[in-house]
Amino acid sequence: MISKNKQPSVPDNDRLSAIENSISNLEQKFEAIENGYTNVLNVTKSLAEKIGALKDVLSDKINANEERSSTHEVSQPQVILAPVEVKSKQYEPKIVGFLCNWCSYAGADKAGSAQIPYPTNVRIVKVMCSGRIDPEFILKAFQEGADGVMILACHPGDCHYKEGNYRAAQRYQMLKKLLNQYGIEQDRCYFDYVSAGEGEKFVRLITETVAKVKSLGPLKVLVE
Amino acid sequence: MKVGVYLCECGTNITEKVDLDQVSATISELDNVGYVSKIGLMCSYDGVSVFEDDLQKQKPDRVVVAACSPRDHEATFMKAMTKVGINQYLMQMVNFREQLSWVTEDKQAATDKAIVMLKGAIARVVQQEALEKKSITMNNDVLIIGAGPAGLKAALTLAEADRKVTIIEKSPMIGGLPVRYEELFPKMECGPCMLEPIEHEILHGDHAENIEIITQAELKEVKGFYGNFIAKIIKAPRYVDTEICIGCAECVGACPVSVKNPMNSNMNEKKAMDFTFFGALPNATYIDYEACLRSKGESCEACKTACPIEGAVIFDDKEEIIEKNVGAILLAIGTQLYDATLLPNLGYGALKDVVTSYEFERILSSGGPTGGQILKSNGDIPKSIAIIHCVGSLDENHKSYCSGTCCQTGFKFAHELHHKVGESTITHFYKQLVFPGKSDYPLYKNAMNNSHAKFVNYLSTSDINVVENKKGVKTISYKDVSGISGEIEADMIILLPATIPGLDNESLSSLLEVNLDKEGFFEELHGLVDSVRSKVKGIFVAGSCQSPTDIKGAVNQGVAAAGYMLSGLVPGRKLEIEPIVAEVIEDKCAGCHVCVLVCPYKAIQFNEETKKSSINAVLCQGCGTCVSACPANAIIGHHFTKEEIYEEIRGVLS
Ligand SMILES: Cc1cc2nc3c(=O)[nH]c(=O)nc-3n(C[C@H](O)[C@H](O)[C@H](O)COP(=O)(O)OP(=O)(O)OC[C@H]3O[C@@H](n4cnc5c(N)ncnc54)[C@H](O)[C@@H]3O)c2cc1C
Ligand code: FES
Repeated sequence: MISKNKQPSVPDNDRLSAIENSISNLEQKFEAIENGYTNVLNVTKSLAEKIGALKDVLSDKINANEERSSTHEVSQPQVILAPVEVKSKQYEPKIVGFLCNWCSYAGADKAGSAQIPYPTNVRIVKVMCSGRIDPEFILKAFQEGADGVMILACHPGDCHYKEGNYRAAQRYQMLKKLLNQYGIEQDRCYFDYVSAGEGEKFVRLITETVAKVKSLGPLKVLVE
Repeated sequence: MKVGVYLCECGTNITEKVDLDQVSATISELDNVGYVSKIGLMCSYDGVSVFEDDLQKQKPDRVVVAACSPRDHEATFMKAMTKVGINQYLMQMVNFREQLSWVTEDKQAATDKAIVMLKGAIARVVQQEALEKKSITMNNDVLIIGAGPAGLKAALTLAEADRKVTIIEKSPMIGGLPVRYEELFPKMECGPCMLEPIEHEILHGDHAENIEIITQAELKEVKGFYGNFIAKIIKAPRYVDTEICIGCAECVGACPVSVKNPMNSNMNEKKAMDFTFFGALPNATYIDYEACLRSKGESCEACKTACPIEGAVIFDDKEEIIEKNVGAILLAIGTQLYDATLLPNLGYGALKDVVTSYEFERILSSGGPTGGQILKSNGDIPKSIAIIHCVGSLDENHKSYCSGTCCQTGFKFAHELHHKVGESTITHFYKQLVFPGKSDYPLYKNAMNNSHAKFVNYLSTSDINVVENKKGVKTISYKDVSGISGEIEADMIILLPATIPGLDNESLSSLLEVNLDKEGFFEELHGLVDSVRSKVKGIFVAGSCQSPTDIKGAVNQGVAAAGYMLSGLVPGRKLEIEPIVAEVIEDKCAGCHVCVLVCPYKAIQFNEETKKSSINAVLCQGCGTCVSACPANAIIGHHFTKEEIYEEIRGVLS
């Protein structure tokens, strides 16, 4: 009956919580980077606004020019306009949302049955588990013209297949670094957890991501 | 390729926000789209039959249904497809209601999004393949490991439904821990009296022919999977034929060798040829071979000579290897107690008359070292007794959880002490008291109402110190929760150590690839809704090897596991294998093992000879984690292939 206090071999839960810890460490670091990035972004934004104002002025002039010499092929101004189009008000980003079949898809359905409106920019691609989301899918989405990608998984500990979401979280961290190398802003790729009851959170994430990607403008660098 | 697109109006739920005519006009122009049909309420009885008729008429190669969430009616439409003879996996659903009409305010924006969503589904469905559900025959027999209350009740439940059950039990007797206790909480029933009928039912009852009990046996190897396990069992020699031994004990009297009795925690002696305890079932003796003179080369035959039954004593009994084919396995191997010597200030192991709960149970037992009388080691009746609860439990340095059954055990002891030694004083030292449910409170009340009882609430076992004077009187000095110090004398101290995982949890965990939780108990599939299933399909867990529990909990789990096995292993029924699983393309596999490591279900085997992985479709749950982990792209995730997903991505972005 009496045993020595034998420690069991490191059980999965411990491994998972170790992974969780390292993920949250990483997340903190990324947050710090992100904060820095937001600062840069704000500066860029105000610059963009100035460019926008300039654009209005320029296009007025160009229009006036065009009217005046309608027989002339005016190719130069288009080059000038190219970067300016980026900030046009009509711009609606295309975002692909990868959702697992269980909690996060159910969370989206919950938003539906609660009839909470959200922007139409996100196109949902369902997989059985976030663990199925291959980093290649995200690159493929960018290559096919997505301006942003969202990955939504079950909350830690809730994955229908136990640990697919931990894999997804790990891959996401790796992927963000890769995106940098491709010259794609990390803010274009977003990862979070949504439970079946979190319809409002789903809507909030969609709305925030759409706004963020809108502020980044269309993806300029294409993946080879 | 002819894709048939069905647009459900869902009453006005969809049409109110999506201009289906505009959608239809745009979609009809797309490649592969054969036709677009609009149906009022597709999920209704009429709607489904319109859908079926149309499918029969149009004979599409692929189908797209834009309606509600697939979580609502995917199964409905899949069934309809099967009914008209189109493979159900050739359909893709688009969630127009939850993801579109209910969440979009602007009708044009909704209509544009509807077109984009459909483009994705059409591109995807073209890639989809017909998938077939395979089925394999299943073995309906069950292997139960551990013959405690959990294992025995599971066996009876299964045997009553005519399932063949093999129980393997490590010790020479069945019944587990409770048959060794004189009285059982909460109702103070006689342990053997309550459990013996169950044991007799197992051994000699109406369905006994369905149950094979192999004592002194352990599991050595398991191959296969749910429905088709092959288990290798090693049975140690008993040297007594349990089938013909009549339990007359003549051999015990004749045996010349006495050794310490482990059943009574070495508090008394037993013979080399003896029962585990008197009344243990099967009612047959066994030879402790290490103690037997024959193991030392002597030719003693005293037991055999004394035995009145020809052939009951078998000196040349051998270790046996037994193979069993079974469909499912139940782990019910119970627990053990935390080692109280790890809390040296309590005096266990160093001082006389400091005993554990198990040892005190044996002292209370009529088959125990004192024949059921409560006596100190010097033969005197104890006058003052301390019961220290929560030893090693609720303690971050030892076991952080509550063992759940110790309070009741302590109150049970108080009850027995009151009856057997009358006026003795009893002091309960406790961290927390628990008595949940409808039956546990009375024993506590009884212990509280005892005018000779005292309760001391302490915070940590380090606040308790036991010393002994020359006369053998023990003094317990303590500090209680409010910081007040005190001292009491006790001539017997009973410790209630934490319940911890059994000795073999670890070895069986690696043998069966069943996980242990962070405390070392077998991990359940889900703590609330699936506590008797492990993560490995077909391997179940019940009783205190899964979590500390009382007999009621153990038995309930055993019966619940039996229920799962009865509903899963039905004679004549085959095991249906879901086709949404992963599959290794052997030629591409580079043998890196990554898939084996990431699979949460141990569904992937690595063949050392071919250096290739292969996936067991029965165990695979189709999560696709291995598919995306494979660096060689050597795994197909059926119904979620790379091509299908790529096309969907392309479609929604076109
Ligand atoms: C001191 C004490 C007093 C208690 N008093 C009560 C009480 O009064 N009332 C109550 O409801 N509960 C009581 N309990 C709790 C009770 O003992 C458990 O609830 C019960 O034993 C659990 O049953 P089980 O079948 O899960 O495990 P067990 O009863 O422990 O049975 C497990 C069986 O598996 C066998 N086994 C172990 N390893 C292997 C292996 N590798 N291969 C094959 N077989 C193996 C063991 O030999 C044993 O026969 C008490 C517990 C303790 C410690
Ligand atoms: S099922 Fe949702 S993340 Fe795995």
